[in-house]
Amino acid sequence: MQAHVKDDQLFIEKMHDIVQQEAETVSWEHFQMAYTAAKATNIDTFTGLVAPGYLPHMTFHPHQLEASRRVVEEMNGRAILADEVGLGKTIEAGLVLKELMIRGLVKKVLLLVPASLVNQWVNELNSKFHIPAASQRKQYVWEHYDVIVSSIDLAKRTPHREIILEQDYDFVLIDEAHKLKNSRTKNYSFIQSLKKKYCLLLTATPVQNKLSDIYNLVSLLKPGYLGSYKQFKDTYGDDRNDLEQHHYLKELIRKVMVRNRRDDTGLQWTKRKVETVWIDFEDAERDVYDTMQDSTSAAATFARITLLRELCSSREAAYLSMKKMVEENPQSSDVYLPLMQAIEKLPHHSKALKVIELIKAAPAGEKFIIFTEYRASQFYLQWMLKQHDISSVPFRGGFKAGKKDWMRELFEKHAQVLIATEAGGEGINLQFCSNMINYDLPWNPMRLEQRIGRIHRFGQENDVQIYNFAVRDTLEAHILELLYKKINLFERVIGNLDHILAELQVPDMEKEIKRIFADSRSDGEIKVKLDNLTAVISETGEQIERSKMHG
Amino acid sequence: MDRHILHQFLRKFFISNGCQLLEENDGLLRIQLTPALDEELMNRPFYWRYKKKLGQEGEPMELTLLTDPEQTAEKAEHIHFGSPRLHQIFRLIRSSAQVARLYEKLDTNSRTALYPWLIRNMSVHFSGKRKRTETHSVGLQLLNGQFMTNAMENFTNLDFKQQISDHCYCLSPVIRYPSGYQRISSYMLAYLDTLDTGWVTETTSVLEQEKSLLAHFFDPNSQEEQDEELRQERAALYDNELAALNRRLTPSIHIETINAGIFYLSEKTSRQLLQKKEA
Repeated sequence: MQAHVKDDQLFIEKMHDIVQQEAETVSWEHFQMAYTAAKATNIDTFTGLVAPGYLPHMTFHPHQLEASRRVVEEMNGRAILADEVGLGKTIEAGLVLKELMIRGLVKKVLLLVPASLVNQWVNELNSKFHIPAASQRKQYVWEHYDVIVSSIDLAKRTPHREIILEQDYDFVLIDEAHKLKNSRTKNYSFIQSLKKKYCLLLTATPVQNKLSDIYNLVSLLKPGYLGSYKQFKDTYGDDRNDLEQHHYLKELIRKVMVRNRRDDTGLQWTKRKVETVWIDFEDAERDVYDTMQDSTSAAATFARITLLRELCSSREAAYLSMKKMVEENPQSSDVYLPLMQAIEKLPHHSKALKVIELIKAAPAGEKFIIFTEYRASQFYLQWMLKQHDISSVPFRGGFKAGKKDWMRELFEKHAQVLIATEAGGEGINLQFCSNMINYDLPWNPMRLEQRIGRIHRFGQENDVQIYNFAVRDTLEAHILELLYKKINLFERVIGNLDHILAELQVPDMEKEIKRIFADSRSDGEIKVKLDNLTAVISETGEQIERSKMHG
Repeated sequence: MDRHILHQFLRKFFISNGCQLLEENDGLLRIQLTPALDEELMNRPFYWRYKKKLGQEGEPMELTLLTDPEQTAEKAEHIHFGSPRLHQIFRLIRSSAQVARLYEKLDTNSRTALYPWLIRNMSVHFSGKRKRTETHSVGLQLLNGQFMTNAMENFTNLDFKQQISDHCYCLSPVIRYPSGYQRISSYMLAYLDTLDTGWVTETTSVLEQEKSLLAHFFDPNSQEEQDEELRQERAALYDNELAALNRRLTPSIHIETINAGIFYLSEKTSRQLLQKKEA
């Protein structure tokens, strides 16, 4: 069997033009250098990664090198990278891209990532991989730069969409690809119609609860690889649990998907040290809390639970909510106005004082991240820290990408504390900080895991210290004692948590817990219901662990 | 290319392009660029356009390159194999040194004949499931048609000039260089025939597999939707994917000429080179 050979016939014409002129041609030195340059860039081997040799400033971990090698050599540059959170999917993808570029297989590149991550991708590709990536801001960029990073929402809008669909991309990458699991969405058909030679899909959660999710992802990479949808459904059904029974399907998937788990990487992870910091309300605070809890306006049960949570966080949070409720519904002022007046008289929040105490007791300059659920608490904490000469910067999910980068940098270089209102699961990496204060706890374990993941990740060199603040004899105490301690979330890394929650078909954990609080008539009832919930979470986790479906 | 070789390479590049070396130590090069190199390397087209419009001479910048990864200096950039700057320089060199006519530098008092050689340097790209590239330098004596492999490597210790040395004269080629160029092509094709074709077989079978999967997935007979628009959409998707497959997995070899030149060598040198080759 022979390959088609294409000879360089254009060159001889160019040569002819130059040789015909009597003028001097290039010097021997330059002629030699051109040959040396070409020879140095020619890679005379089919196998192995050459890119790491070109990136002497980077240290890659064995699982990252192996993942990239498999994608390039065994998967022909079309793969799902599905490492668990924090193992460096970005690094693996960058390495694959660099390898393909060095080997001359890829020139035109499109990376579609969440809007909040565009800048981070651009920075990492440039600084870590020397890949001259540009972010999409203006229209003309599409045609003029070879490597573009954009959000999918921007890319699919007119006029960008039309321009992009005309390009012949050598390489397309989709970050957070699990969002593409539904083949009927606009995003899906947009990605499907892109012209792409090589393609990487990045996701930490390749399968949630339906087999069709994985079918759709694989079909983007390799249409036909899993058969037609009808055949697929007839053969395998649509129940994720069936995947365990289908070894053949598992094998098929293994050929297009790389999935490293923390346990498989052989890396020493730094420890998580968890400490619960109990706070006792002052008498005045306790009085207001109890009054609020006992107010028996039945219609407002949900609102009451929200207010109680807020009061555990800051006076301001509860006060602002009530003020808003009164504005929206003047009749409710009978209930809320007395409470608001009581709150106004409260001293500084016991929890905030505890934060100051904790930070002051730490070695000078020790950095802390404080997470709170409420913006009012965030403002309050900022003010409090300032009163005590502790420098801090705020961080919110709503910040534009540029501002996030700036805040992150301020925190790294200048401020001692970062006060964040949102875990920002797709947000910033703060591994240079190893202390976290959960000023109040989210009622969704996944969000807590994401919070911790901001600092307990790749690159963290110290043990991570997590302080969970809770006010004794309040809702917070229940959440901490009955939910989080039971599922043992703080100490271990639950890589499967997202699967578990999806499995449980609980779309909104927070609402679920609120309902438990609202519907229960006694602490005993709350305890029983939360116990049931945690038992199911633990069992499902064990089940998934046992099946270890994607090896 | 290790960092010492890289350092020498860059030094040679800048000096031979007329730049002044402002500072140099082991691992650092500070260079005063010429206007021409500033325009090529510093990426400030507007500056140069305005200067030209105003009829003024531009002020070329200084460039400090660190070839030692451990070194630091103000306003300096690290350069290493794989850095965009180096590849920019490589591209510049390659595009500016494509065709040469050079004469062996000889110090002689007697009339000396110079024999014409065509030297063709090539990258041979093998592209299939994966890719690799060989580098070849083939010479052809244009009087008797003798071949020489590794020509550039053999020439390492020789020196060539752009003008003919005193007392030397050139012999006219019997083989014209365009047909010499074709002879080298034939020589390369014969060489390619001797290579193992395992990679072609492997790539072709992968291509066939993927094609049949694709056809199966897009089989119009198994489509439930009868809507004409949908069918057309799927047909377009199929064409798209098929084209991508073919682009990615059609095995091919591409001979790309890096550069080429006519070199005039004395008989003595030619003989020495060919003897060395036979030895």
